[in-house]
Amino acid sequence: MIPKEINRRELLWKAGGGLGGIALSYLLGSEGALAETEKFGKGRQDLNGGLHHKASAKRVVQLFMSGAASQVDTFDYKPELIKRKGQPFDPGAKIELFQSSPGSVMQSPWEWKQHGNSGLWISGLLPNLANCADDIAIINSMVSKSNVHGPATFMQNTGFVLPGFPSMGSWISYGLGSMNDSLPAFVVLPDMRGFAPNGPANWGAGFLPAAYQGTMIRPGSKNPIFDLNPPTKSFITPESESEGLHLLNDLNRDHFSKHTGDSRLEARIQSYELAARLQLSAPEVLDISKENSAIKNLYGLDKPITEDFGRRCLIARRLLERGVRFVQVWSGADNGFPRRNWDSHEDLARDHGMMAAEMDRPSAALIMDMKARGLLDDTIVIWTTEFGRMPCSQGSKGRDHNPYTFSSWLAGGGIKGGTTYGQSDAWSYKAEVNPTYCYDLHATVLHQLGIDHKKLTFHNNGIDRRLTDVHGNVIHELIT
Amino acid sequence: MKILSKTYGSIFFIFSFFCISIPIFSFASDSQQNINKFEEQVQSLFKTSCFSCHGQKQQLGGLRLDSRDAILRGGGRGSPIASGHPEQSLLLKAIDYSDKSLQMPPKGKLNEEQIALLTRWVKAAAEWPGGHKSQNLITHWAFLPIGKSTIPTVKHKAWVRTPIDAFILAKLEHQNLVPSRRADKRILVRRAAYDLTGLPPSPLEMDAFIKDTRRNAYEKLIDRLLASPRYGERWGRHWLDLAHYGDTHGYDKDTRRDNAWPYRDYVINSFNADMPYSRFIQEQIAGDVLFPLNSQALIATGFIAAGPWDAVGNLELKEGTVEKEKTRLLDRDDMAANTLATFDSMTVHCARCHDHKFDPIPQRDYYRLQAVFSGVERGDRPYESPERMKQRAVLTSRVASLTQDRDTLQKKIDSLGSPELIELDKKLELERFKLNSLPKIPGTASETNGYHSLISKTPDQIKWVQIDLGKSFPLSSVILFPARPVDFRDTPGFGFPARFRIEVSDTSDFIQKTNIVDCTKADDASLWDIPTLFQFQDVTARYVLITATKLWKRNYDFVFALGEVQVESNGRNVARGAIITARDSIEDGRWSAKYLVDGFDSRTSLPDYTSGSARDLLKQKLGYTLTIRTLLDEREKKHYALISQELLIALAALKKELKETLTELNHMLKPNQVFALVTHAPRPIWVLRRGDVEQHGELVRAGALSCVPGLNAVFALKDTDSEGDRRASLAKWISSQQNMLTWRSIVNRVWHYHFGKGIVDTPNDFGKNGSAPTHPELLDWLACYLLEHGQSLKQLHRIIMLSSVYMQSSEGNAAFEKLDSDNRLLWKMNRTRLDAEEIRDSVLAKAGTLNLKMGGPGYEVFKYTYDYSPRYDHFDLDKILSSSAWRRAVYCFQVRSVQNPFLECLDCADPNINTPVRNTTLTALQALIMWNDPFMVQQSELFSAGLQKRNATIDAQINDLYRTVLGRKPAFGEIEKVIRFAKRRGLANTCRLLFNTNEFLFLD
Repeated sequence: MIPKEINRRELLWKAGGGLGGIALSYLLGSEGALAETEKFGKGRQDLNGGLHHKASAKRVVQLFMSGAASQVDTFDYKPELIKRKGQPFDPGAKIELFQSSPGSVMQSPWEWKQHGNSGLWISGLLPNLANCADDIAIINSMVSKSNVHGPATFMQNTGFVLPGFPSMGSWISYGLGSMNDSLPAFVVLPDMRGFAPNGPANWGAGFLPAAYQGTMIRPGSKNPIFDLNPPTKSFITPESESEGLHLLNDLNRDHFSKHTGDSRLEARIQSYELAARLQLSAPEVLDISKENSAIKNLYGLDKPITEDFGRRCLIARRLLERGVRFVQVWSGADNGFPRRNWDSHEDLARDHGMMAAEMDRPSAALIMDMKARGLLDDTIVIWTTEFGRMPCSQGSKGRDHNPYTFSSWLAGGGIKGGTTYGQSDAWSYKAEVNPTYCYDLHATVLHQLGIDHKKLTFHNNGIDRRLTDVHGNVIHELIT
Repeated sequence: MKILSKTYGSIFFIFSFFCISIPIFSFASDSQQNINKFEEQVQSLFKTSCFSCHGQKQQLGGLRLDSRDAILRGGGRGSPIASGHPEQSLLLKAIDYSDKSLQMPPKGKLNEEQIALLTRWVKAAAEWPGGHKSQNLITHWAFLPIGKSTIPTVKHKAWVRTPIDAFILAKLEHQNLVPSRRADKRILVRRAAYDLTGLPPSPLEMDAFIKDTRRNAYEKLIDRLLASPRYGERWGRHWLDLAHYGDTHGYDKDTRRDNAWPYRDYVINSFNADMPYSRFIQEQIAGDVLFPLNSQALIATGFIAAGPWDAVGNLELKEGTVEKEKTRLLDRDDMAANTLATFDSMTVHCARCHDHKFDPIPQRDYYRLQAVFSGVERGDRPYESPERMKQRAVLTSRVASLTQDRDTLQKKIDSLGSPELIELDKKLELERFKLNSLPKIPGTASETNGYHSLISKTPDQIKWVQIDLGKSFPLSSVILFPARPVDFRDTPGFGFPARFRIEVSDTSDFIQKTNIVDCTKADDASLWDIPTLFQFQDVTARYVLITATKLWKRNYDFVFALGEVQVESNGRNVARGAIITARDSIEDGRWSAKYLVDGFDSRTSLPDYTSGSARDLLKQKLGYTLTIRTLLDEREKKHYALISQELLIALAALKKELKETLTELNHMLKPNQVFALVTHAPRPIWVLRRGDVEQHGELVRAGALSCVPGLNAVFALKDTDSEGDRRASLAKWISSQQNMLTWRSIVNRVWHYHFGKGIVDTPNDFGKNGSAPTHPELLDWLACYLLEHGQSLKQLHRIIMLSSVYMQSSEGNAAFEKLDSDNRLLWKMNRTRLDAEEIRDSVLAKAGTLNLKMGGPGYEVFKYTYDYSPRYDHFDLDKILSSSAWRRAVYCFQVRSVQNPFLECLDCADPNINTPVRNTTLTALQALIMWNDPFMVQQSELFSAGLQKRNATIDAQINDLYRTVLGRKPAFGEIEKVIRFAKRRGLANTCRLLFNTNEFLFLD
């Protein structure tokens, strides 16, 4: 029903992309920022889809542990804490905590072992991820600029502690667009229990066009995608829908014929076809009934504790497989009670215990499954959180916020598995060797996607803005 | 110039800020173009006469004249110019040929004109035209005084309806472009209505305008729309985009900000009232300081507080930590940056970590602005209507004057005397002396108050407390020690009942009892504020029961309390440590029934007062006190007899009025609250190196930008510690008629909203990194027009909308598009997509469901729950479909963390950031919400019901639908298809269809 001779470039430029497989470099071309890529469409083919240099990855999936996952109970092994458990915590400098005064040194409730050929230290809290030790590259010297959840969560997502900036997923969509003609470039799968601190502002487009914001999908709810389908009404039938859209197209075409030369009118007509394609492709990607039961069990869909995160990880894989550029999966909701995120001030063993039990198996499954499908080779997995937790206790069983050092890891997409980068001090109180900010992590991810983080810019209120602000160094030690 | 910059490349690209200290040439009557021309003339003169010896290739005498830097640096004899001082300039001496040792150019004297040119140039601070980065900052267009522009002459004079047209047409003619024809009336009325009110014209309004053939019909239309209250809602919304207004705090938890809306209403009302713009500025920055009696001006300061706020960081982080300082730095950054962006289109936030890279804004200026806001926090602030504020002030001052009158009169009465009174006073003095001479029994401080009953609403509740002595004793007296709690205002006799009795019995059932004290018949006149001794004939008993039959009046309720009780048996207190039961008792803190016999009254430990010297002392004390009180009674009676009737009446009248006034004051409603500024003494502000709160540079005073000529960058404050003076000074600095940024900024914004693009298309950035104005003279002309017309924005709208430029058709023209594809020269009107609010409001208006109720708390299109953290569920169908949400979108409660998905999808402003220009995207998700959203489907259904009610036949219904949504009849060829669809798929689906047409969603 839609004529094929539309001026594709014009249309895409005006339509702003984000959805329906629009090659966003067209839009970039119009902005002049990345004009040279214009004729190549989705990134430069000679650069394996990169914009500025050869890309070694095409997709990203980010697992975000909301509430601050503890490094000293997961990936940052410190024998000092076992040796000195119960002793006063005295790292030799003034200690500023968020809520409490420093308690005594607290040993992790979980045992530590080395895993894989690489011998990475991973705690007994994460037995399944431990099996993936040789695939992941751990950064044990991450630093945040805030010890408050809101600003710090913004920082890990957007590079800024203030609201109103585009998230990494938005920047990457803006840079590369989608690889699928019927799905959004950037999809977010929030925790079913609710939103993390800052809510959907975490995946907002900021000053970038709204088309680049994360599209929220809530698998398992009645309407997984907002307004994908009309409400149930007697007068709305498949026939009325198709006839209605057809007539709408006619009316809009008549109107357009009287107002030639305005490509926006054309683009809006086209947007209904893109919407129709999304209506068809979204249910297919969300329907996991055809996945075999071994796969479903791998992700933990057979157990209530892993079911939600597992389903979202599996859907993340399906989305990536179909060309979605960036998927963000959240572990943890708001800061309410009882605890439903990683913010374990009161009882670390109980609350980290629960959150990890939900997250560990599905995350490992995602790595293994993608690896088996060859998808991991050009998909980067990011595991991150907004900041870490203190080596000393809060109350007697909890841990307070620690912005000075925490752990993140990367896998796949040309990342060197089985490595660690950076070190914290003997306590894991402050980053000591190679302190690393989100800027460096973001720069590295963009680098793998074939993007120079200094060249991906958007002019706003007087400044050529970047994901990495005025910072960021690609961490070459993490790259194969 | 082009050739020059090629030849001399990068030579003059390194100008630094020192230029600012050079006297500034007054450009009052010069346009930017003239200045550039002038500088270019100077440069070309240098080029032809001097560069061969003092240029790139050779520099005779060490002098080089091809860049401003080089000129100022000078050669062997120093700088050839003393800018602003022609008489001291070597250059002028040299070209004057008066000094034989220095004559330049050596080939021959310049002509008179050339000498005059260079003299004028040196006087004018020796500016130098440059390429991109070298351009002198002070000559940047935005910092030049607003010039009085000459209205250009044009060929096609008939087209010029207002001076605006001449400015636009002159440029068009210069480019050989021709303006578009006037849009037809149907388009004009729709354009004007949306532009001024954000709503479509009703079919009736449309017809009326189309049929109105009077010459001034269009003018009348504009005036009518400007007078509509809908105008403030539309233009207020534009302003709220800049204020980054929201109804929650944002960040972690994103707590509700339930008192934000009065500011939103203030903005709407101010636009409707056409408040002069400088007043609008002043109120929003410092209304509470500059107009202290006007509650609306206080509400206006909600502007400063309107943005996101890290409540957790600001409230929960510990004082004295680095994190707290960072939080505050960013909080002030939001206030300062947003104020300057909104009013002056400057990007000061770029100077937080270093001097601004493009604009003449040193870091110091930025921190001066931070200092303006270093004494404010965001928070709820009480306010009330001017009437109530006035009423409260009147009542308060009335109370003060009545109190004074009463005291004066009382003093006069008190001083009335007679020989008899003098005699009495002598006696009183003697008795008081005796009382005060009694020995004091030392004691230790009490940690308990005594016994306190539960609180009763009425005085007639019977309350009792019973002392079980453990066994029978022969009893002969009881001493009651009144309470005088330390944790209440000092009240001797606290809780002592107005009526009571004391009974004793040998059994706890009190079947056999002896009444030893009975004060139940009348409120006892004695003052029960000192220990009281009741003596009686010996009675043998185990239980002592004290029953209050009329309670003591506390504030607005009634209680029974006692500090301690002693019971005498054979010269010994037998009650100490006895078992106490009571009808009810407050058992908390210093109160407990057992404290009735703990050996302490409310203040001190007590000796056994039942015998010996202590008892004698108690009796003596009682005796003297009673004597004193009797004497006082007598004195009062005698004194009373001396008072004249008039005085008594006057005093009674005063007391009555005072009481009434106080009652009235106390009964006034409590003030309302608005989320605005809570002030305190300003904190010191330092320049922070690299923006790091731990790296203090110099301490700065409050101030503003140093690059605005004619205004002081550092505020002259009478009291440098005054928070209010700082904001008041900034308010005046910004609203000054000399602040060219302010006036250009607002006229550019108005232009932007009318045409979809500003004359400067970066409305928040007038700096060098922003765009240059396409029509600088017009921009200045508009600024002057605003200043000369009472700073009335409505007058500004009027003159813009009456222009031929505005009334043009929006149809394209392939040939012109090649020359000016962005239509920057305005050879046509810009077609725009309706914005998010216009779409939602229009759907309601067309469906006939729009509720025009103005103001008040925002309606909530989400289900709100609080579970230690607020949750906003925007997917709740009941809320999406609730009729409470059928008001204009400007009144929608805006959650910062989770925006309304419908409005957000259609590119509404993000309340987290200042949005000077809305993005306009066209996406598949928009197609989905317009077609599928339950709200759209619901409104389509309601719309179709209305159409069916109004029209009997399907033909008439479709005609009505077309007329309502598109303002026209269905075209030939269209009507059949649509009617067929309506018949097959229903009218509701047809309404849905029309809401999705481009014709409805685009504004021609």
